[in-house]
Amino acid sequence: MKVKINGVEYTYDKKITILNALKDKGFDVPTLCYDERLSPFGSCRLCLVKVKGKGIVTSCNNFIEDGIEIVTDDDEIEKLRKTNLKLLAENYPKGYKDKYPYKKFHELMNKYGLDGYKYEEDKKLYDTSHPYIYVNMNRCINCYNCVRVCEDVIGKLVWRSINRGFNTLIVAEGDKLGKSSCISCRSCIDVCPTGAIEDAFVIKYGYPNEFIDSSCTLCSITCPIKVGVSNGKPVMIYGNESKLKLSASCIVGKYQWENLYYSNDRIYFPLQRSENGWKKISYDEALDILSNRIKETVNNYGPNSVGIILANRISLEEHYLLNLIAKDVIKTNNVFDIIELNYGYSVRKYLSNLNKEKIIKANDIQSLGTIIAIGDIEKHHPTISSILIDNMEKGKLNLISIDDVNDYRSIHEQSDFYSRVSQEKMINLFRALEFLIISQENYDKRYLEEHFENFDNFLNKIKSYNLDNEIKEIAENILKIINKLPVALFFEFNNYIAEELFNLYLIMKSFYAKVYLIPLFSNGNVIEHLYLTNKDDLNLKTNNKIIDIIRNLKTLIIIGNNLIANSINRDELIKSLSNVDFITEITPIIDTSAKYYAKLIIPSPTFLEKSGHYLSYDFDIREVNKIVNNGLKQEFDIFNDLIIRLGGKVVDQKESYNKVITNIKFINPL
Amino acid sequence: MIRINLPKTEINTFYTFSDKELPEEYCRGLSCFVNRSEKPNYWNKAKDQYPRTYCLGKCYLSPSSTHEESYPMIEVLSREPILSKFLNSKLDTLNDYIKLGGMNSYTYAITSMNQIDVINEVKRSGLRGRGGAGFPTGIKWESAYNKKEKKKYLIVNGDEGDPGAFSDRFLMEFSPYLVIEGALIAAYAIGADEIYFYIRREYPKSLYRIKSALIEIKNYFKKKNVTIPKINVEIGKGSYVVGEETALINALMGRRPEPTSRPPYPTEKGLFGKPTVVNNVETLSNIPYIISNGGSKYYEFGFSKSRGTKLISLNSLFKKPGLYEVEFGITLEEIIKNAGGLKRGTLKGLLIGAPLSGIIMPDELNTRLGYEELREIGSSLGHGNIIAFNEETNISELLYEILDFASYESCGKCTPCRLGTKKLRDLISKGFFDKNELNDVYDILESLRRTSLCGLGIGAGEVTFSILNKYNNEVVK
Repeated sequence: MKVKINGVEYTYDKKITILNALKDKGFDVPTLCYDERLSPFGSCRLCLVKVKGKGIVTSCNNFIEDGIEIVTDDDEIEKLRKTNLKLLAENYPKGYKDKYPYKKFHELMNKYGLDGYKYEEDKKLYDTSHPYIYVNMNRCINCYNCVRVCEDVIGKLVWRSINRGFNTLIVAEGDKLGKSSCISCRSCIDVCPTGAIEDAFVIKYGYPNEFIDSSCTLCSITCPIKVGVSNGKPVMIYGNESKLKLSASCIVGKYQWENLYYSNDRIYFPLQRSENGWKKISYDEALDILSNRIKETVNNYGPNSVGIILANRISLEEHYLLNLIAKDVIKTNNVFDIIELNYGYSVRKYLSNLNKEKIIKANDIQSLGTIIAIGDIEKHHPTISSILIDNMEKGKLNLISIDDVNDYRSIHEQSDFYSRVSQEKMINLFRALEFLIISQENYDKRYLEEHFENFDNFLNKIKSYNLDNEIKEIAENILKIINKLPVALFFEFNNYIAEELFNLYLIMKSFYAKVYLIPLFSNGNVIEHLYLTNKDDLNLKTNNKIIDIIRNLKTLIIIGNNLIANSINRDELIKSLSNVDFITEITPIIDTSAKYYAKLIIPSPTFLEKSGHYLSYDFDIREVNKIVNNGLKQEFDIFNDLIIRLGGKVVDQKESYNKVITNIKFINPL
Repeated sequence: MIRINLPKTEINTFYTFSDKELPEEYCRGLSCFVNRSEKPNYWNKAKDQYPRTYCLGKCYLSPSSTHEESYPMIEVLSREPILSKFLNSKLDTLNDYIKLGGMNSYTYAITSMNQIDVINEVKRSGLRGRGGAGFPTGIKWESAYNKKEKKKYLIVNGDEGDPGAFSDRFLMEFSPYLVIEGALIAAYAIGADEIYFYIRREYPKSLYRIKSALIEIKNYFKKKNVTIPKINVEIGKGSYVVGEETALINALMGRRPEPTSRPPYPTEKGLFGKPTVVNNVETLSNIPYIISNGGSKYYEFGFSKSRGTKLISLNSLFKKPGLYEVEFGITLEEIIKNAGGLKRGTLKGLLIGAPLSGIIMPDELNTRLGYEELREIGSSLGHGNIIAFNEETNISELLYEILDFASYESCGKCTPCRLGTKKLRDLISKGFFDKNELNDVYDILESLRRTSLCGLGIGAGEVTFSILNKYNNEVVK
């Protein structure tokens, strides 16, 4: 498809909106009501362009066609844009533009030489009833982004518009946001172009006076971020897009850290359970208690009676120390992470099959041809799904989305093909795809014979499945869309369908050659652990077996928060935990396991209060920097203190980093 | 995904009459405005009334209110009375309609014609939408027909909100069977198994007539063992913008009735996300004739790109106000002549397609009635509503009334309409535009004309532009 933009010809593969086509080629188009996550709305009337033969149109909802000619800005367009912007400015209060210059609307006002002209504010339009979300609807410009994101993306109806015309107002359900059914996801803050809905911490502590480079560790993408600090408090996080496009474009990265950092359940002193409730003790006291307990357990019951569960992510350096403690100091085999706890060791088998594959870096996703997104990626790895959608919208790749999510996800609407199928049907769908590919008789048989234990057997099995027509039709549709290579399967890991998906992956590879499988793990995201620790007997440890082992431990150390929340076998896990004599939890907040099962809690920092290196899902090493220094010992120091007390030798950060890096190279070549 | 039936409390605040009832209503429409000197107390009551009522469809006797009733004269100026044949006959029951040959077209269509034949016949007729936009009806049907979805809808737009218009009102009131037959044929052609009527609250009798006619028609076809589409009737709650097709679709889904930006068009993604055709009452009323007489026969009426006949509504300032069925191509002068000219004063201007379309000056009366022809002189056909005004009308006051209406009825979704109409209204409220304000005024009206989301904002810009062009010395000081 050839499109002329300002006299220059460009080529596009797919029919995409004019706005996306322009953005893709680096043209700057002003918008206020447009947001990648929402369907085009067309209320701000700023994204105007001229299309030959049609005149002035909004680019957000009109599509490119072969041969069209677009003018992005001339005097006439600029004048119309400025008039509309000026109308908004005239009804916007003075003083905010310079105070919060980074807001989309304020940036546009600066660009067009405008400012808010209204001197008086209506006090009734303030709403401070919500602890995290500050509302001042005097600054509302009626883009409805908040209303739409809440309804269309989050599936709530907290924001509502009332009245009409000039009197239109956006109000919270029941008039006060604090009393509404708001779930504090803060998507509305994220999409608000003016700050009418703003992060309460930005209002409370002020716009940041400095930004510090770091990385977000809340999911395995480990986005490079900039943390805005105001008066010693972190108030804002945004993605460092120079390092990773669309980095931290999700509300988890932008806002959910506040739930952790500013949580009322944060602890800053070690706590020991006593008859009178929790007793504050010092780090030294706590570590003495823990090390004595470990020694005692090892002496009385043997080293394997001490267990460690990794419930959340720790730095690479800390991984090194953790392995050291377990293997060399305590000498226990019972170190598990939450992924193993959920799925058993079989996860490792799948991963080891992928070890020799090239890694698709997040920044290279745009050079892929077709993506099949399997599972609820949007929920668990929102930045990945943003990257997929963005590249699909810009016409760079085909996007197929398959999941069993019974809820709205933008990826459903923004895919070339979307199918909601139950997990059982998903297995059949994979089989149907295998069948259709094999029937084309154009695959590399040798490759499959190398990779399947008994390929002929497998072949017979594929041919024998009795698949219903509906599934076959879906499979046919999917194959039609795979017309661009390479193909990448982004897979939100799930044990139930993993085996068949790995089969499909091999079959596809034998046919298309350029096929990649990228497993993503939610539930604590401790994927590094899988790469950094070797385990023997991969066949033996199922998730049930691991939970059994935990039940028989005498002393257990839980590292990280949300173990129970992230477990998919909660009931069994709880039973096991209640059977363990002594549990210590090293955690930044008091969570369920700390509250009910731990005898000792040692506070650890959030990712804003520590430094170290983390491994991203695509094997990049990302640096996390200490943003706030509040005297919390980070896990690294806690581990070292423990090593000394147990008779080992302290290792410093640099040394552990160097050693761990060698390990990663050994496991998976970078 | 489209969520339907959002919380009613908030949605209802959009409408002026969702939770209110008034013992009597006085019309604040333009037809009543230009003839307010006849009953000044009516106009004063209309101005004081809260919430406002814009147009009761009684423009032939304006200034008007809800408590009096009389019927307009119906005059045929076309070679054949395509619509007035039914308007002029007393159709009390379905039987009366059947005696005139009613329902034959529908029966013929479903028994002897393919869907595509029906569509081609309509395409051949040159019929264009009578709601104002003038989109070729056959092409609209075809594009919905071509959509592969199983579920499709037909919506009958009976939300005739343009002040000065009462043609749809009397089609529904005097000849509901004709409208329904047209709708049934349309539904058959596009493959819709469900029809929605949306009728404005100001036309209670139309609502009643359509509802009772539907019962008769359902029983009639039940007896004949013919399955007809499911038909629903919705009543408006007081909002002009709902007449815009995408707004109407939102209203039917229980969402805020704001227009949606196109594309996607309703024929691709309309009611409940399904392919939907929205047709105006008068458009559909022409369909039975086209089916029984053939599209080419219909095409013989009219001229240029405007084919067939049109019902013209004339306001009370004419000597003989009422409904006139004319063929496209008739000059405005002839229409005025047939109506006997004005009953008082001299003609200062005509508002056609009011309120949101340009004004026509007396020296432009040789213009022939047609979609393009009216557009050429900066006006538009609208519903074929013609409001004449004389020297009693001050142009600045007229412009204030129009902009006040636009601002009052604006849904508020798009920037230029929400803020621009109000700003222009505020500027003209002092009785004139100051010379120093003109740059601003032109900026805003350009932005309204060229960047508004729907016809309301565009029209508000057009009418201001036209007034500044044609009556500059009266509005600029």
